Amino acid sequence: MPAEMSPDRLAELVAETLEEAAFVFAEPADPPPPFHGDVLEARLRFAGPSRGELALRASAGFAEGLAANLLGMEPSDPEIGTRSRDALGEIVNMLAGAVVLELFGPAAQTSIGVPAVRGAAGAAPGSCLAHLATEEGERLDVWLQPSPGSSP
Amino acid sequence: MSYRVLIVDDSSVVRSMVKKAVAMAGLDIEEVHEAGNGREALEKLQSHWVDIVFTDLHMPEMTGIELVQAMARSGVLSTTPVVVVSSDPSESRVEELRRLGVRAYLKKPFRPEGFRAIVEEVLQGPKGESHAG
Repeated sequence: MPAEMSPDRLAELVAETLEEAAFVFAEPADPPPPFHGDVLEARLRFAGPSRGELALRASAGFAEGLAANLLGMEPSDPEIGTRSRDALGEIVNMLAGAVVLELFGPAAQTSIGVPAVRGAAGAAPGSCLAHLATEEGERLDVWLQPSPGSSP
Repeated sequence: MSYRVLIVDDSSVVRSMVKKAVAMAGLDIEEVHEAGNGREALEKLQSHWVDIVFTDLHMPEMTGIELVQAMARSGVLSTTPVVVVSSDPSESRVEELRRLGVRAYLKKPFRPEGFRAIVEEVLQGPKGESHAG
C-alpha cells in the first residue's frame, strides 16, 4: 500500500466526493447489493512519497445517472450515454485528490494521473476494498492498491 | 463588460461542468471556447482573444503547466489570467503555479458560489475595486 487507509475511511471519502460533486448519496454496504447490468471500472494512478492505484467499479446505469447529475442534464438525454464513462473517470479523479491528501498530507509532492475507464473483469484485487450502495441501490466497489515502479 | 472564456480539459464532462459554472456565475459571457489539452488551447489562443483561461493540469500532449509556461513566454498571452481547475491537493503544486503566474487555483469538486467568487476576483479584482471596462 502507498500508505495506510482503512476501507471505512475510503468509503467515507467516496461518499463525501459523490455528495459534493454530484449530489449522489451513498453509504457503506455489507453485504453489498448485486450490480445491475454492465459494470464499468475506472482506474487512476497516483504518486507521492509512494505510488498507488485507485479504482472504482459501478454499473453503466450508475455512470449515466452520475453524468446527468454532474452536467445538470435529464437522464433521458441522448447525450448521456456518451458522457457516462467520462463522468465515472472524473469522479475517480476527484476522489484521488481526497485520497492523496489523506494519505500524504497537503505538504507532500504528489501527482495524479489520467483516469482510464473500461468494462470490469474479474474480482476486485485491492488490499483496501470498500463496498458502498447508493440510495437507489446501485453498488459501488472502490479499492486502493500499490503500483510499484509505475509513473502516474 | 462581456467576457470571452477558454476552458481546457481532456474531459468533456469537466469542460461542461466549468461551462455550466461560468453560466451560473452571472457574468456576461460573449464566447466560450473549449480545448482538450494545452496544445489545442494554444492554437485557440492564437486565433481568438480570451479574457480568462480555465485549465486542468494533467492532460495528454501538453499539460496545464506547460500551457501556462508557453503563455508566459508569449508576450501577448502573458497577461491573460489563468485559473487552474484540478483535484490535485498538493500545496507545493499550488505554490509552483503561483510562481508561474497562475491567478487562482480551484480544487475539484467545487461549489458554484466558490467558483463565482474566484472568477469575480480574477476578472474584476477584490470586492470594492472596479476593474471592469
